Amino acid sequence: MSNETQTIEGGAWVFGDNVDTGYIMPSKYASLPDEELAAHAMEGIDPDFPKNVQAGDVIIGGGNFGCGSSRETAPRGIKQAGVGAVIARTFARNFFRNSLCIGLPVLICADAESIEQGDRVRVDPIAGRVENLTKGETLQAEPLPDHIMDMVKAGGLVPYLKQTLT
Amino acid sequence: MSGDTATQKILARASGRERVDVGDIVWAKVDAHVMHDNQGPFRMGKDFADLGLPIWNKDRFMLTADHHNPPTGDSQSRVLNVTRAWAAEQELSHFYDAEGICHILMAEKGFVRPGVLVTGTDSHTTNTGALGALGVAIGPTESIGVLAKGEVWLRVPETIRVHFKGRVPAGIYGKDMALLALKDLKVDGAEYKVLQFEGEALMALPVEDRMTLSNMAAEFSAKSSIIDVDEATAEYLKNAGVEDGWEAVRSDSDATYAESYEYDVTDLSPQVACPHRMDNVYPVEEVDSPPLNRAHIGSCTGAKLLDLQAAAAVLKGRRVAHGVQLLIAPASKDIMSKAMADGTLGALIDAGGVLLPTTCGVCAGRGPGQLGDGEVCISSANRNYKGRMGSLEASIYLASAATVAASAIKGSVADPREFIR
Repeated sequence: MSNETQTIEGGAWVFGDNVDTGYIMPSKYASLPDEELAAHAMEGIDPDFPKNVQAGDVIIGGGNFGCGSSRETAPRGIKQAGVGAVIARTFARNFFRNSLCIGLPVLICADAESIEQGDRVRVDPIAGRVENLTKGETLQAEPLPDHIMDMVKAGGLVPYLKQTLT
Repeated sequence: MSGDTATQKILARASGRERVDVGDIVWAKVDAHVMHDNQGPFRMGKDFADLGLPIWNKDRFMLTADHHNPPTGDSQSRVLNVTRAWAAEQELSHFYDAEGICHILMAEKGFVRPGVLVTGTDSHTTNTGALGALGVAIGPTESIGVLAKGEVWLRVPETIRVHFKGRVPAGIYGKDMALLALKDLKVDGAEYKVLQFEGEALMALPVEDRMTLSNMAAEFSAKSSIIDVDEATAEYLKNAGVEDGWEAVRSDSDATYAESYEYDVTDLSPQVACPHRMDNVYPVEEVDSPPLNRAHIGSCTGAKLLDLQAAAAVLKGRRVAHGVQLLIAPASKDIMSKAMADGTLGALIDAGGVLLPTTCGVCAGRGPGQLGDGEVCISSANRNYKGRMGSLEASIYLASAATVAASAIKGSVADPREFIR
């Protein structure tokens, strides 16, 4: 897969610290199939998010993004809603791992919060590069270990396992 | 060179290395794995079948149907039926259907042994720490990898030491100690780290109540938790059918810790987490709550036998206040049977309690008893952010089962020590 196909570009949605997965995908939607999750993405913190988010938009978190429950419906829901990547100062480990496993790029970026609501952002998850097109700034994400990058390049854990185990 | 933490030793053993350093990334063999209906076959069954690989070890894998069970409505029925069908198709040896909540069943059924690595598709997999095992949460997709290979990659984490000293006074439980520490460390206080709970006050708690702390390590965003093993642990394990084949692992006296905290519980008051965050904690005497609609004793955190007994000691011979509904959801059938046999359940029901299934229920925002707009609940469960138990417009207080019981009698948040003779 080329870098080009994996580049993401869209508007930034900024949320703060300690965004719980229960806000990203409220418990009551836990039994919905994947395709119905999108309508409720981020509903616990911004009920208008599902109708306003555009394909390729990027979520910006502060610290400990995706804390709380390990529910995979949280990254699945925002991915289904069109979110192309999540960038945060730090992630809660369950959300981080789940996102990588389902092929949603997550980037740890110390300066994530320099990005403001509505800024135009271009993300290259393989290079770990985040360009703020509105501000003309480029941020570098923390590099991830090789075995994780292999999974990111494959598009998630399932395609990666198919390549390596079968 | 300084010594190793218990976590380093467990991960060294699981990854077949002599020793590991904090920050190392290891591929570690999993001793036991648990998956539940909410993060199980409904999300990963098809992808796992597509791989066409067998489950690495069916004797060490547990599947539970505890979240959408009994189901309310079509979508939950579908999840449950997919879960049941997958269990049958995979010919699982350990599938538990509405029998209890996964973390409690893992402990009760002897799946957890000291010194081993456990994975589970639930944040409260940290519960295993009370039995000296390292329990780490993953998601359902990553569970595919564990089921296929029996191993998982982990970064060797730092450990934070939380020491409880002094004498545990009457009316104080593991929950109060967990909330006290949460107030200080906050919900992100142990991000990517392991919480080591220790000290004479902690070790004075029954193993079941030490579990309240290891379980709630998740609320500090911890990767896992660990507690020393003692005679009480050995006794608990024996009752769970684990008599031998395990070796306690302890942190060296010169191990390096990221941070250390110490609390004296001798004069501790019951602690209450107020809406809408688990670290918004105050001593009960400083909490002036609105009238309660619901008092809930349930979940893997707060509905073990000792929680039910503590609530019954407060409620026996009394009645819950008008306008308050007391919900009782024992964490497993075994707990429910024991609570029936010793009169605990009778006391709770006589006081006005409504008995619910031995599954996650309200704590997972499912089943009967969920909160409506503007409603107020006090619960012995683990999380109180908006929407956890139903409506985003409801308010949740968290406390020990004894404090929940006292509050049910008063109709607003109340001190259990007034009711304990």
